[in-house]
Formats: sequence, structure tokens, C-alpha cells
Amino acid sequence: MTEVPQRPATNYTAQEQDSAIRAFRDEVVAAIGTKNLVDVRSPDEFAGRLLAPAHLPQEQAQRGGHIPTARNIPWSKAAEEDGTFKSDDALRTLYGGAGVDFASDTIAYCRIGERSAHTWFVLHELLGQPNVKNYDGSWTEYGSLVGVPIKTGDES
Amino acid sequence: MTTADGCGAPAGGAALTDAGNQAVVQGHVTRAGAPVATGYARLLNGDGEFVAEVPLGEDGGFRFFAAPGTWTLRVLAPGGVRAEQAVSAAIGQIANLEVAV
Repeated sequence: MTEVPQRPATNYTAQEQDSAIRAFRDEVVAAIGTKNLVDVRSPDEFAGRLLAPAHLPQEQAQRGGHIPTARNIPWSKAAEEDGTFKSDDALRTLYGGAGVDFASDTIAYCRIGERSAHTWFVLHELLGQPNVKNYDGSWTEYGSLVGVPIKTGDES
Repeated sequence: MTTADGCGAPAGGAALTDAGNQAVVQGHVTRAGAPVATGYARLLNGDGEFVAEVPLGEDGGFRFFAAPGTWTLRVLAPGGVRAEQAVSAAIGQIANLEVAV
């Protein structure tokens, strides 16, 4: 270690939440086939083979699978093996190549919205996409809803 | 302190008393017989894709709750240490791995 950053004590004042970056159930259902839905869970959760990330017991949502038309781009793919973010060009290739339309609005989700917050940061803060939302209800909510379409298997 | 109330991975993996209806993959990482407490255990699926990762516990332990099938367990530790083992998981069973690096 060559540089030790100085972090003087300071105060942060919490502000009202910014609901413009949160997506809720009805908006997510309406986004099927009309906006980018990015499922950032592992391929096995996306397909419905796992109900939760594999470091947790498999007992969360009622059903496995994903939201129809969602593209599966695991959050971890935005990072290099050493934990740093990939370059902007590599990130654009990653998301664009998986079918994300950068001219359209995007909703990211995972199981409880934590991993998808990472992807929200990548799309909104690193790539500058203007309208990206995090669905914090995510699969825990969607996979337990009555009357919504669910797709299983590896295809979107 | 291990908690499992978020998506975060508790060091060593979530606690377990009984496999129940889970397909558990767990084990320990050792170097020359001593536990490796600094590092990560990563679970890869049959296509080699990242599925999950936990920091190793103080006893070098890790635990995953997989689906039935064949998986790869990859250990990453400081100094570029990397080890892999194939493992099969089945519902109601605990697959135990001892990984020496």
C-alpha cells in the first residue's frame, strides 16, 4: 500500500427517496415486450433450476423462472476477475450483445434487488443510460404473484 | 457473524443443520493442513458460468445450496492461488469437499 486516503468525519443528510429509479410490480408487468428487462441473476436462477442465489437455501419465491422477454446478464459479468468494472466499451458490447436496446428504457431485477442495484449503477452511472430502474421487489415478489406470466428455461 | 437476510454471502456460507430438501455442496480449504481463511469459494455451473461465491469462513469453510447436477467448485486465494474440483449435488444430500491448495 502506497497511498492511504484521508477520510475526515462529515455529516450526511438523508433525502426523500427518488422513486424515479424504482420500478414496481405493475410497471414491470407492463414492460414485458416493451422495455428492456435485465435479469441479473445466475443462469440457473433465470432458468428456474435455482430459486435463490446458491449461497442461500433454496426456499424463496413460490415459483422459479424469469419474466418473459427478460435478458439474462448476470451482474458478475460487468466485473473483471479482479473485481474492477469492465471498460465502457466492453460493457456496451456485453449488454448490447445480449439484446439490450440502448434507445429504450430499462428495468433491472434479481431476487431482492441487491445484485440488480449493481447493474443499475453500471447502466445508469457508468454507461449514462438515462432511464434505468431497479425492481426491488424482484423475483421474491414476481415469483409469488398470482396471474403473471412466467417463463422457465434458458431462453428469454 | 453470519447473516443471510440479504443477497450478501455470509463468510463460510449460511448455517446448516440438516440437508433437508436442499442439495448441499460444502467443504473446507486447507494449505499444508491449516485452514485457509482468506479467500473465496465460487460455484460454477455445468457451462462454467458463475453461480455464486462466498468468502471462506475462519475454518476455511464454504457452503452452497445447489440444484441436483454437476458443478465445479473453484477456490481463489491471495497470491494467485486457484484450485478447482468437480462435484455432484443431489437433493437431501451433503457433498463434502476437502480442497488442498
